Amino acid sequence: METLTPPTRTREVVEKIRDGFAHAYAGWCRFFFEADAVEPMRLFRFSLGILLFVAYVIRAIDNDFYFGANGVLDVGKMVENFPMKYRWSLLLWWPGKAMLWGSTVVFLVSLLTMALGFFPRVSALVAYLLHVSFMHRNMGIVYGLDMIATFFLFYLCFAKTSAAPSRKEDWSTLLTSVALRLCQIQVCVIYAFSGWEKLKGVAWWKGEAIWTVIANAQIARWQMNWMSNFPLVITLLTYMTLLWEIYFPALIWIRKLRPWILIGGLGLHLGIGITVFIPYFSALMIISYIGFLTPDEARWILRRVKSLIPFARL
Amino acid sequence: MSIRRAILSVALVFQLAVVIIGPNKETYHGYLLAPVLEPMFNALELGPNWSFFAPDPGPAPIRLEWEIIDDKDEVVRTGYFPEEGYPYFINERQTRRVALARFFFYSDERHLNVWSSWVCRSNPDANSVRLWKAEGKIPNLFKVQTGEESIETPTYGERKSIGNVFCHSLEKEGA
Repeated sequence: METLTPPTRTREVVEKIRDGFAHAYAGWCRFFFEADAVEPMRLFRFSLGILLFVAYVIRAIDNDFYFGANGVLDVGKMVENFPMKYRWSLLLWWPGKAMLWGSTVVFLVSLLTMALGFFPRVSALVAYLLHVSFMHRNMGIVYGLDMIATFFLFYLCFAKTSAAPSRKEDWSTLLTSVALRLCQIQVCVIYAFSGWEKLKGVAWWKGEAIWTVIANAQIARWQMNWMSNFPLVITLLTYMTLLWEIYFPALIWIRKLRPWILIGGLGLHLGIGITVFIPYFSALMIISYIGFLTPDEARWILRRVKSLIPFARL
Repeated sequence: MSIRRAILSVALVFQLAVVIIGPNKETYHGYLLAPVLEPMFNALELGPNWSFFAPDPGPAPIRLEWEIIDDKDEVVRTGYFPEEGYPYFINERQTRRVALARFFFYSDERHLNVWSSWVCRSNPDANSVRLWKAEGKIPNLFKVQTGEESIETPTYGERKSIGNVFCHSLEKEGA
C-alpha cells in the first residue's frame, strides 16, 4: 500500500485549491462575461429611455421651483446645509436660467436618443451625468425612481446595444454582458435590502403595512375605506410582499421559478402603481425585469416595438 | 487567462463592493471602506439606501406650516406645503412635492435654515416667519370598519414648532 509523504500530500492540497479557484473563476467568467446580453439590454435601453423621458418632462414643468436660482433651494443654503462632499452639479457651478433650461433640453434629448438607439452609449453617458447633476442640485425631490435610474443609466453607458450579438470577445462584448449582470444584481440588491429593512418594521410584522399605505391620504390614489372590511386580504398582501421581496434575490436565478417570480413582481408593482401615486417608480421596477428575459423573449418584443416605431434602431 | 477578463474582474469586484456596501454604510465594513468608496457614492450617486416602505411605510400625511409676521409682530398670513389633495393634473408633480416636504420634515435644522429662506423669499412683506411642522395620522383599520374614522383629507393633529427666523437676517447672510 502506497503511503503519501508529507510533501506529496501538500502538493495535492495545493493542486485541489488551485483547481477550486480555477473552477470558481471559470464560473465567474461564464456568469459575468458570457451572457447573451445584446437584445435584453437593447429592449431595456429603449424602455428605460422612454419612461425617464416622460417622467423628467413632467419634472421640468417645475424646473424653476426645484432648481432655479430663486427656487425652493437657495444655492448658498444648499451647499451649507447638505453633505456635499464630492457632490457636484452644473447647476451649482452656473446657477443661471440658461444652464437650467439648456441642461434640461440636452438631458431630455439624450434620453430620447438613447431610447431610439442613436449613439446609445454616448447618449446614456450624457443622460447619466446630467441626471446626477440635477439630483445634486436638489436632493429634496429625489425619490426611488431617480435613485434606481442612476444605476441603470450608469450601466447603460457601458453596454453596446447598437450591434448584432457577436461571438468575438472584445471590450464591447464583455462590457455589454457585464452591464446586463450588474443590472440584474442591482434589482436583487434593491429587493434584498428593502425586504430585510422591512423586517425591522412593526407594521410589517403585524400584517398592517399595506393598510398604512392605502390609508395614507397623502400618497394613496383612492379612498379605499372598503378595504377595511377585508383585513385578512391586507394581512396576506403584507406578508406576501415581505416574503416575495426577501426571497426574490435567491429564487430569480432558478430558471423554472423565474416566470412565477416575475409575475409576482408584476402584480406587486402594478398594485403599487395603481393604488399609490408613484406610477413611474412602479413602471421602472417592471422595466427592470427585462434584464431577466431570455434573448428570444426580448427579440420577440423588440420586433413588435420596431413595427410600431420603424425609425427606432432596435 | 484573458487579460481583458482579469481587468474587468477587478473593476467588477470594486463595483460590487459599491453596490453592496452602499446601502450598508453604517456598518464596520462601511466605515472601513468609506475613504475608498465615498467618492463613488457621492460623486456618482451610487450609494443610496434601499428602504422603500421600510422599516415601516410612512410617515403619515405631513406638512410644513408657516406664519408670516410683519413689522408690528402680527401674523398677516399663514401657509402650508405641500398643497392639499390632488392639485395637479399630473400627480407626479405632487409626489415630488411630498418628497420635498418629507425632506424638510425629517430635519429641523434644514427646515429652519433652508425652508425659511424660501418662505421669506416668496413673502417679500414678511419681517419674520414662524415655522411649524404638522403630522396627521393613519386612520385605524378597526375604526374605519365601524365607520368611526375614514380615509379622507388628513387632519393634522400633531403640530411642532420649529422656530422663528427674521427674514432680513437671511438677506444679510445672502449679501
